[in-house]
Amino acid sequence: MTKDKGLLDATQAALAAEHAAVYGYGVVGGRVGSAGRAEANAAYTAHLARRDALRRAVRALGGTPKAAAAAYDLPFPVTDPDSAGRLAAQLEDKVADVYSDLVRAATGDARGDAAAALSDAAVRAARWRGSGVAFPGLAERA
Amino acid sequence: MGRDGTTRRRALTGAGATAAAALLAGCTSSGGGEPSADARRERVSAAALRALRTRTAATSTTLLGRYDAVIARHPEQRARLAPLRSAVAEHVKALAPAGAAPSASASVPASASSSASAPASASSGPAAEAGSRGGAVPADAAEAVRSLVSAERNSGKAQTAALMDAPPELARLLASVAAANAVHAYLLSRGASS
Repeated sequence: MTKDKGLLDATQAALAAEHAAVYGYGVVGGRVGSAGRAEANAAYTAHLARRDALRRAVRALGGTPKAAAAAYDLPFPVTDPDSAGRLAAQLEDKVADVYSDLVRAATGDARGDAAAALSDAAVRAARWRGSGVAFPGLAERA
Repeated sequence: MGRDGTTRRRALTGAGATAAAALLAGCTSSGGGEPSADARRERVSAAALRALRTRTAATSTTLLGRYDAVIARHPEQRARLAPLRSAVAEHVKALAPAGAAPSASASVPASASSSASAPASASSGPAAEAGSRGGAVPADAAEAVRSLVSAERNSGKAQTAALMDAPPELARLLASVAAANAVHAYLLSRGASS
Protein backbone atom coordinates (compact mmCIF):
# COMPACT_ATOMS: atom_id res chain seq x y z
CA MET A 1 0.00 0.00 0.00
CA THR A 2 2.89 2.35 0.71
CA LYS A 3 3.83 2.00 -2.92
CA ASP A 4 0.39 3.15 -4.11
CA LYS A 5 0.46 5.99 -1.61
CA GLY A 6 3.85 7.04 -2.92
CA LEU A 7 2.61 6.90 -6.49
CA LEU A 8 -0.52 8.87 -5.68
CA ASP A 9 1.49 11.53 -3.82
CA ALA A 10 3.95 11.85 -6.70
CA THR A 11 1.14 12.06 -9.23
CA GLN A 12 -0.58 14.77 -7.17
CA ALA A 13 2.71 16.66 -6.89
CA ALA A 14 3.12 16.52 -10.68
CA LEU A 15 -0.46 17.74 -11.08
CA ALA A 16 0.20 20.65 -8.71
CA ALA A 17 3.27 21.62 -10.75
CA GLU A 18 1.28 21.46 -13.99
CA HIS A 19 -1.43 23.68 -12.44
CA ALA A 20 1.30 26.18 -11.58
CA ALA A 21 2.79 25.91 -15.08
CA VAL A 22 -0.59 26.55 -16.71
CA TYR A 23 -1.08 29.62 -14.52
CA GLY A 24 2.50 30.72 -15.07
CA TYR A 25 2.35 30.46 -18.84
CA GLY A 26 -0.71 32.69 -18.71
CA VAL A 27 1.57 35.35 -17.23
CA VAL A 28 4.41 34.49 -19.63
CA GLY A 29 2.10 34.78 -22.65
CA GLY A 30 1.15 38.32 -21.71
CA ARG A 31 4.74 39.55 -21.49
CA VAL A 32 6.81 37.36 -23.77
CA GLY A 33 6.48 39.53 -26.86
CA SER A 34 5.96 38.47 -30.44
CA ALA A 35 9.24 36.54 -30.73
CA GLY A 36 8.36 34.07 -27.99
CA ARG A 37 4.60 33.96 -28.33
CA ALA A 38 4.29 30.84 -30.50
CA GLU A 39 6.61 28.96 -28.19
CA ALA A 40 4.70 30.11 -25.11
CA ASN A 41 1.41 29.06 -26.67
CA ALA A 42 2.75 25.64 -27.61
CA ALA A 43 4.09 25.14 -24.09
CA TYR A 44 0.81 26.29 -22.55
CA THR A 45 -1.11 23.76 -24.66
CA ALA A 46 1.32 20.99 -23.76
CA HIS A 47 0.95 21.72 -20.03
CA LEU A 48 -2.85 21.73 -20.29
CA ALA A 49 -2.71 18.27 -21.86
CA ARG A 50 -0.36 16.94 -19.18
CA ARG A 51 -2.52 18.47 -16.45
CA ASP A 52 -5.60 16.72 -17.79
CA ALA A 53 -3.76 13.42 -18.13
CA LEU A 54 -2.56 13.70 -14.52
CA ARG A 55 -6.09 14.40 -13.30
CA ARG A 56 -7.18 11.17 -14.95
CA ALA A 57 -4.20 9.36 -13.45
CA VAL A 58 -5.08 10.57 -9.94
CA ARG A 59 -8.66 9.38 -10.35
CA ALA A 60 -7.47 6.02 -11.67
CA LEU A 61 -5.42 5.68 -8.48
CA GLY A 62 -8.52 6.34 -6.41
CA GLY A 63 -7.62 9.89 -5.45
CA THR A 64 -9.27 13.26 -5.83
CA PRO A 65 -7.28 15.51 -8.18
CA LYS A 66 -5.79 18.55 -6.49
CA ALA A 67 -7.33 21.80 -7.58
CA ALA A 68 -5.28 24.71 -8.79
CA ALA A 69 -4.58 27.42 -6.24
CA ALA A 70 -6.64 30.57 -6.55
CA ALA A 71 -3.49 32.56 -7.12
CA TYR A 72 0.23 31.99 -7.24
CA ASP A 73 3.12 34.15 -6.12
CA LEU A 74 5.50 34.97 -8.90
CA PRO A 75 9.15 34.44 -7.93
CA PHE A 76 10.05 37.86 -9.42
CA PRO A 77 8.23 40.62 -11.27
CA VAL A 78 7.45 39.65 -14.85
CA THR A 79 7.48 42.86 -16.82
CA ASP A 80 9.10 42.18 -20.19
CA PRO A 81 10.12 39.39 -22.61
CA ASP A 82 13.33 38.76 -20.71
CA SER A 83 11.70 38.18 -17.33
CA ALA A 84 8.90 36.23 -19.02
CA GLY A 85 11.46 33.87 -20.53
CA ARG A 86 13.16 33.44 -17.18
CA LEU A 87 9.85 32.58 -15.54
CA ALA A 88 9.06 30.06 -18.29
CA ALA A 89 12.44 28.37 -17.79
CA GLN A 90 11.84 28.15 -14.03
CA LEU A 91 8.38 26.71 -14.53
CA GLU A 92 9.88 24.00 -16.72
CA ASP A 93 12.60 23.28 -14.14
CA LYS A 94 9.97 22.78 -11.48
CA VAL A 95 7.91 20.52 -13.72
CA ALA A 96 11.02 18.49 -14.59
CA ASP A 97 11.75 18.03 -10.86
CA VAL A 98 8.36 16.55 -10.09
CA TYR A 99 8.40 14.27 -13.12
CA SER A 100 11.71 12.76 -12.08
CA ASP A 101 10.08 11.91 -8.74
CA LEU A 102 7.13 10.45 -10.61
CA VAL A 103 9.48 8.26 -12.68
CA ARG A 104 10.85 6.94 -9.40
CA ALA A 105 7.42 6.21 -7.96
CA ALA A 106 5.76 4.77 -11.05
CA THR A 107 6.16 1.62 -13.12
CA GLY A 108 5.13 0.59 -16.60
CA ASP A 109 3.32 3.07 -18.85
CA ALA A 110 3.03 5.68 -16.11
CA ARG A 111 6.80 5.62 -15.68
CA GLY A 112 7.30 5.92 -19.45
CA ASP A 113 4.90 8.87 -19.62
CA ALA A 114 6.65 10.62 -16.74
CA ALA A 115 10.06 10.13 -18.42
CA ALA A 116 8.70 11.62 -21.65
CA ALA A 117 7.23 14.56 -19.74
CA LEU A 118 10.56 15.14 -18.00
CA SER A 119 12.35 15.15 -21.35
CA ASP A 120 9.84 17.58 -22.88
CA ALA A 121 10.15 19.97 -19.93
CA ALA A 122 13.96 19.82 -20.06
CA VAL A 123 13.98 20.67 -23.77
CA ARG A 124 11.57 23.57 -23.24
CA ALA A 125 13.71 24.89 -20.38
CA ALA A 126 16.73 24.76 -22.69
CA ARG A 127 14.79 26.60 -25.40
CA TRP A 128 13.99 29.43 -23.01
CA ARG A 129 17.44 29.53 -21.50
CA GLY A 130 19.60 28.71 -24.51
CA SER A 131 21.54 26.16 -22.48
CA GLY A 132 21.02 22.96 -20.53
CA VAL A 133 22.14 21.31 -17.32
CA ALA A 134 23.84 17.93 -16.87
CA PHE A 135 20.99 16.37 -14.89
CA PRO A 136 17.58 17.86 -15.76
CA GLY A 137 14.98 17.25 -13.06
CA LEU A 138 17.47 16.25 -10.38
CA ALA A 139 17.43 19.21 -8.01
CA GLU A 140 20.03 17.59 -5.75
CA ARG A 141 22.55 17.58 -8.60
CA ALA A 142 21.83 21.11 -9.78
CA MET B 1 -8.39 38.08 -7.17
CA GLY B 2 -10.20 40.15 -4.53
CA ARG B 3 -9.45 37.98 -1.57
CA ASP B 4 -6.06 36.51 -1.61
CA GLY B 5 -5.55 35.14 1.86
CA THR B 6 -2.10 33.76 2.16
CA THR B 7 -3.36 30.24 2.67
CA ARG B 8 -4.75 30.25 -0.83
CA ARG B 9 -1.55 31.33 -2.44
CA ARG B 10 1.09 28.92 -3.46
CA ALA B 11 4.58 29.70 -4.56
CA LEU B 12 5.00 28.97 -8.23
CA THR B 13 8.41 27.51 -7.82
CA GLY B 14 10.50 25.95 -5.14
CA ALA B 15 7.75 24.29 -3.14
CA GLY B 16 8.52 20.79 -4.25
CA ALA B 17 10.15 19.14 -1.29
CA THR B 18 7.04 17.46 0.05
CA ALA B 19 6.73 14.38 -2.11
CA ALA B 20 10.16 12.93 -1.64
CA ALA B 21 9.80 11.31 1.76
CA ALA B 22 6.84 9.15 0.84
CA LEU B 23 8.41 8.06 -2.42
CA LEU B 24 11.27 6.36 -0.73
CA ALA B 25 8.96 3.84 0.87
CA GLY B 26 8.27 0.54 -0.75
CA CYS B 27 11.47 -1.38 -1.22
CA THR B 28 12.62 -1.97 2.32
CA SER B 29 10.03 -4.29 3.87
CA SER B 30 11.47 -7.71 4.43
CA GLY B 31 8.34 -9.18 5.93
CA GLY B 32 9.99 -11.89 8.05
CA GLY B 33 11.13 -14.39 5.46
CA GLU B 34 14.13 -16.50 6.34
CA PRO B 35 17.22 -14.33 6.43
CA SER B 36 19.33 -16.46 4.16
CA ALA B 37 16.75 -16.36 1.37
CA ASP B 38 16.42 -12.58 1.78
CA ALA B 39 20.15 -12.15 1.75
CA ARG B 40 20.40 -14.25 -1.36
CA ARG B 41 17.70 -12.27 -3.15
CA GLU B 42 19.48 -9.08 -2.25
CA ARG B 43 22.73 -10.37 -3.67
CA VAL B 44 21.00 -11.39 -6.88
CA SER B 45 19.31 -8.06 -7.31
CA ALA B 46 22.52 -6.24 -6.42
CA ALA B 47 24.20 -8.15 -9.24
CA ALA B 48 21.37 -7.25 -11.63
CA LEU B 49 21.60 -3.62 -10.59
CA ARG B 50 25.34 -3.64 -11.15
CA ALA B 51 24.86 -5.14 -14.60
CA LEU B 52 22.27 -2.52 -15.50
CA ARG B 53 24.55 0.27 -14.28
CA THR B 54 27.44 -1.17 -16.24
CA ARG B 55 25.36 -1.42 -19.40
CA THR B 56 23.85 2.07 -19.19
CA ALA B 57 27.23 3.61 -18.30
CA ALA B 58 28.62 1.91 -21.43
CA THR B 59 25.90 3.56 -23.50
CA SER B 60 26.99 6.99 -22.28
CA THR B 61 30.67 6.04 -22.64
CA THR B 62 30.11 5.25 -26.31
CA LEU B 63 28.47 8.64 -26.78
CA LEU B 64 31.43 10.26 -25.01
CA GLY B 65 33.75 8.51 -27.45
CA ARG B 66 31.79 10.00 -30.30
CA TYR B 67 32.24 13.50 -28.88
CA ASP B 68 35.98 12.89 -28.57
CA ALA B 69 36.18 11.62 -32.13
CA VAL B 70 34.32 14.65 -33.49
CA ILE B 71 36.42 17.07 -31.42
CA ALA B 72 39.63 15.35 -32.59
CA ARG B 73 38.59 15.69 -36.22
CA HIS B 74 37.14 19.19 -35.84
CA PRO B 75 39.08 20.96 -33.08
CA GLU B 76 37.42 24.25 -33.97
CA GLN B 77 34.17 22.76 -32.61
CA ARG B 78 35.67 22.16 -29.18
CA ALA B 79 34.37 25.30 -27.50
CA ARG B 80 30.87 24.56 -28.68
CA LEU B 81 30.92 20.86 -27.83
CA ALA B 82 32.88 20.90 -24.57
CA PRO B 83 29.96 21.70 -22.24
CA LEU B 84 27.84 18.95 -23.74
CA ARG B 85 30.72 16.50 -23.66
CA SER B 86 31.36 17.25 -20.02
CA ALA B 87 27.69 16.61 -19.17
CA VAL B 88 27.98 13.22 -20.86
CA ALA B 89 31.13 12.49 -18.85
CA GLU B 90 29.14 13.26 -15.70
CA HIS B 91 26.47 10.81 -16.84
CA VAL B 92 29.08 8.07 -17.18
CA LYS B 93 30.31 8.75 -13.66
CA ALA B 94 26.82 8.84 -12.16
CA LEU B 95 25.74 5.61 -13.86
CA ALA B 96 28.85 3.51 -13.28
CA PRO B 97 28.51 0.97 -10.46
CA ALA B 98 30.09 1.98 -7.16
CA GLY B 99 33.75 1.05 -7.10
CA ALA B 100 34.02 0.67 -10.85
CA ALA B 101 37.30 1.93 -12.23
CA PRO B 102 36.61 5.08 -14.15
CA SER B 103 37.00 4.35 -17.84
CA ALA B 104 39.80 6.10 -19.63
CA SER B 105 37.62 8.25 -21.81
CA ALA B 106 35.33 9.30 -18.97
CA SER B 107 38.14 10.96 -17.11
CA VAL B 108 40.02 12.75 -19.85
CA PRO B 109 39.37 16.47 -19.93
CA ALA B 110 37.72 17.97 -22.97
CA SER B 111 41.06 18.96 -24.37
CA ALA B 112 42.47 15.45 -24.60
CA SER B 113 41.62 13.30 -27.56
CA SER B 114 44.27 10.65 -28.01
CA SER B 115 41.99 7.65 -27.57
CA ALA B 116 39.14 9.46 -29.21
CA SER B 117 37.96 6.95 -31.73
CA ALA B 118 38.11 3.91 -29.50
CA PRO B 119 35.04 3.78 -27.26
CA ALA B 120 35.86 1.64 -24.26
CA SER B 121 32.94 -0.73 -24.40
CA ALA B 122 31.14 -0.95 -27.66
CA SER B 123 29.44 -4.28 -27.38
CA SER B 124 26.50 -3.70 -25.05
CA GLY B 125 23.13 -2.30 -25.91
CA PRO B 126 21.58 -0.92 -29.07
CA ALA B 127 22.84 2.61 -28.57
CA ALA B 128 26.36 1.40 -27.95
CA GLU B 129 26.26 -0.45 -31.23
CA ALA B 130 24.71 2.45 -33.05
CA GLY B 131 27.32 4.77 -31.58
CA SER B 132 30.28 2.67 -32.56
CA ARG B 133 28.74 2.04 -35.93
CA GLY B 134 28.54 5.80 -36.33
CA GLY B 135 31.78 5.11 -38.12
CA ALA B 136 34.28 7.62 -39.37
CA VAL B 137 33.68 11.24 -38.46
CA PRO B 138 32.52 13.19 -41.52
CA ALA B 139 35.03 15.66 -42.91
CA ASP B 140 32.36 18.34 -43.02
CA ALA B 141 31.91 19.94 -39.60
CA ALA B 142 28.15 20.45 -39.88
CA GLU B 143 27.79 16.85 -40.99
CA ALA B 144 29.89 15.71 -38.03
CA VAL B 145 27.71 17.66 -35.61
CA ARG B 146 24.64 16.09 -37.19
CA SER B 147 26.16 12.68 -36.49
CA LEU B 148 26.36 13.72 -32.83
CA VAL B 149 22.68 14.60 -32.89
CA SER B 150 21.89 11.04 -34.00
CA ALA B 151 24.27 9.63 -31.41
CA GLU B 152 22.53 11.66 -28.66
CA ARG B 153 19.12 10.48 -29.84
CA ASN B 154 20.19 6.83 -29.98
CA SER B 155 21.70 7.11 -26.54
CA GLY B 156 18.52 8.66 -25.17
CA LYS B 157 16.41 5.89 -26.65
CA ALA B 158 18.59 3.22 -25.08
CA GLN B 159 18.55 4.90 -21.64
CA THR B 160 14.78 5.34 -21.85
CA ALA B 161 14.35 1.66 -22.66
CA ALA B 162 16.64 0.71 -19.78
CA LEU B 163 14.79 2.82 -17.22
CA MET B 164 11.61 0.79 -17.66
CA ASP B 165 13.17 -2.18 -15.87
CA ALA B 166 15.36 -0.26 -13.47
CA PRO B 167 14.85 0.02 -9.71
CA PRO B 168 13.28 3.36 -8.66
CA GLU B 169 16.36 5.49 -7.96
CA LEU B 170 18.26 4.32 -11.03
CA ALA B 171 15.13 4.83 -13.16
CA ARG B 172 14.99 8.44 -11.99
CA LEU B 173 18.66 8.97 -12.85
CA LEU B 174 18.25 7.34 -16.27
CA ALA B 175 15.23 9.51 -17.04
CA SER B 176 17.33 12.56 -16.29
CA VAL B 177 20.19 11.30 -18.48
CA ALA B 178 17.77 10.59 -21.34
CA ALA B 179 16.27 14.08 -20.93
CA ALA B 180 19.77 15.55 -21.13
CA ASN B 181 20.34 13.56 -24.35
CA ALA B 182 17.18 15.15 -25.79
CA VAL B 183 18.34 18.61 -24.72
CA HIS B 184 21.75 18.05 -26.33
CA ALA B 185 20.15 16.89 -29.57
CA TYR B 186 18.04 20.05 -29.54
CA LEU B 187 20.97 22.38 -28.78
CA LEU B 188 23.19 20.76 -31.42
CA SER B 189 20.54 20.83 -34.09
CA ARG B 190 19.61 24.43 -33.54
CA GLY B 191 23.22 25.54 -33.45
CA ALA B 192 23.36 26.91 -29.91
CA SER B 193 26.46 26.25 -27.90
CA SER B 194 26.25 25.58 -24.21
